[in-house]
Amino acid sequence: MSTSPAAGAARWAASDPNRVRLKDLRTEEMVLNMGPQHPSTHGVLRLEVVTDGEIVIDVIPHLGYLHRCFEKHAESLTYPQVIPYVDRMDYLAAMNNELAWAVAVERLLGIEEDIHPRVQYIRVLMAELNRIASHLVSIGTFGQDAGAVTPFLWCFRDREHILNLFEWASGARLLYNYIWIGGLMHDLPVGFEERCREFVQYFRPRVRELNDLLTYNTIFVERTANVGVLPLEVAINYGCSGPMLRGSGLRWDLRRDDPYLVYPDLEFDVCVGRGEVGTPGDCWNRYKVRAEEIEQSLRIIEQCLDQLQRGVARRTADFDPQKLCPPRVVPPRGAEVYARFENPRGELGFYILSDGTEKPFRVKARSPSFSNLSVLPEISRGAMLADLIVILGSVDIVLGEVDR
Amino acid sequence: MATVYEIRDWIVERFGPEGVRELQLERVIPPALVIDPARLREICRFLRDDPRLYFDQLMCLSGVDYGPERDQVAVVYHLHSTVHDHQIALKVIVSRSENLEPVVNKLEYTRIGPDGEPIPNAEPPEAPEADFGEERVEYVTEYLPAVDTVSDIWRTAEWHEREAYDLVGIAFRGHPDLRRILTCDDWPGHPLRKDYVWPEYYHGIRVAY
Repeated sequence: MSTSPAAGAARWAASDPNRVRLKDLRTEEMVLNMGPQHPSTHGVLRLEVVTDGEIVIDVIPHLGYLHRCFEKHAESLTYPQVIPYVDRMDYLAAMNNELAWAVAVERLLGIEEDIHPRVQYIRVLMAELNRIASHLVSIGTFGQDAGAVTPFLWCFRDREHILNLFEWASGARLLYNYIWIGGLMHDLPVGFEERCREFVQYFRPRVRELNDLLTYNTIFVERTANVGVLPLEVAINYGCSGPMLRGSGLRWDLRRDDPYLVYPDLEFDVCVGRGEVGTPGDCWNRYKVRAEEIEQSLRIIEQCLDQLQRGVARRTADFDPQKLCPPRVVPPRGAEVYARFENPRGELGFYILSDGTEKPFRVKARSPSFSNLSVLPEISRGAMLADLIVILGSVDIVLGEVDR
Repeated sequence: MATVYEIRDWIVERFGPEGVRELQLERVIPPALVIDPARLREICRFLRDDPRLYFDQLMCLSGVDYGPERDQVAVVYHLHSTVHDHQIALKVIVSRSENLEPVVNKLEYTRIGPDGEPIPNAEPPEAPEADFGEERVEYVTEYLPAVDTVSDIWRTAEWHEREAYDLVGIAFRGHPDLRRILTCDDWPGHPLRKDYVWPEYYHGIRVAY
């Protein structure tokens, strides 16, 4: 039905061979394997590239080098025990993943509405800080893919401040296990809000500097504008989400359009690719959406800090972040939920099926990078080989999440 | 924005009462319609193209194995419309042990020793230069429960169906490129089957941990 049987046995039988057979190629075509170890794949991904000189004829992604079957693990763990595994899916935005898992299970239990406002604001604060950190990595490595080394160093310098804040709050720099089902591991440490405000003050000018350095840089624009154009209907049909979809011009953000937590109370703009440079849907516009989202995240963080310091979510003596954390998480038998959340890379969805025990019956993670990557062959056919690197960088995949 | 009752009624109006087998509302978010597997493609095309519905986005496609006791597998489609902003889940439930379809899968891995005999559970030799014989991978036909593909209706489904085939062991009729996607091409079995048994060795590497 799918693969045709090969005759005989090979001396070294590769477990994941090329799909293109040499005998099907024309004389001038060549198969080039990019990866699994290649700096531009941001992890272990193999792209089987059929080239004609420097023109890309076809790309066939081979995934799974980082596969650890998260879904199988989740079936043998209790709901709270899954959180550290969720962290390791999109390891650049672990807070967002935890938030997604926690809210999905709360929705399954029917306690989503009862969460204390302070818990909700802290969650949103953490998620937005992590969104900035994740976009900084994305922008930095994208610049490096296009040949600019300085932005990478600047981005990592600023990301370090966010990681220090996370370390202060949760004890870990990358994989936090901070957001729990029904609450949080701890309240914020005393002085966190003030330090966070200092960070926002420090960081605002840095965003402008970064824009001066990279965004309108002629060399960068030449490399990225009008490259890898993703038309909107193709993006929707392939299930692209997040900056990929917004870069193509659809004003679509789950924080606004399918809101969760306190996002309806917060003010922010949904950034879209407007084709200011290049065409909507090209690499530059995808990049620009991420750069603008950093500023919107800063706006959200300031509003959260207002609420956390003086508003409905201010610190009180009797606040217990674990008050609603159930001692045993047992959703009713037959309950199922598909909950989706706006991660830095797009729509992260969890489909959870419960059989009335402490462990989920089936968990399916719909990770944004997985669907975003599937459109890569479509937008890189006919591009130059060097542009393929830029296109892959603009898709911004995290292989931990593609392979799960 | 259409409610789930309206969507059910429109499908029934178009495809007859057997089109929708069940409406699942209780504790199911978003509400799910269990539909007739034989009409899956027609119903999906209708849901995507009808101007009242216009489900242009397939958010998620999940394969579910209900285990050998219930003897069923399901494919769940979560649909969303960016125009009307409504959501729905479609479910297709098929038998796990009847009406199976053959799928050629690169499956059986053996290591042939220097004497030409297969070595069961072979571990790599201590000394790297020792002759360890040949590896042999054979193509084996598996029999799997099958569902029609929707990968030409929503291209999202192409990779998600490959994933469901790989991990849950559901074949998709008419899929353009049904290969394993996350596990290796010659990985034995489908890990998310409820009766899955971990292999002891894979390419001479101990799997158990």
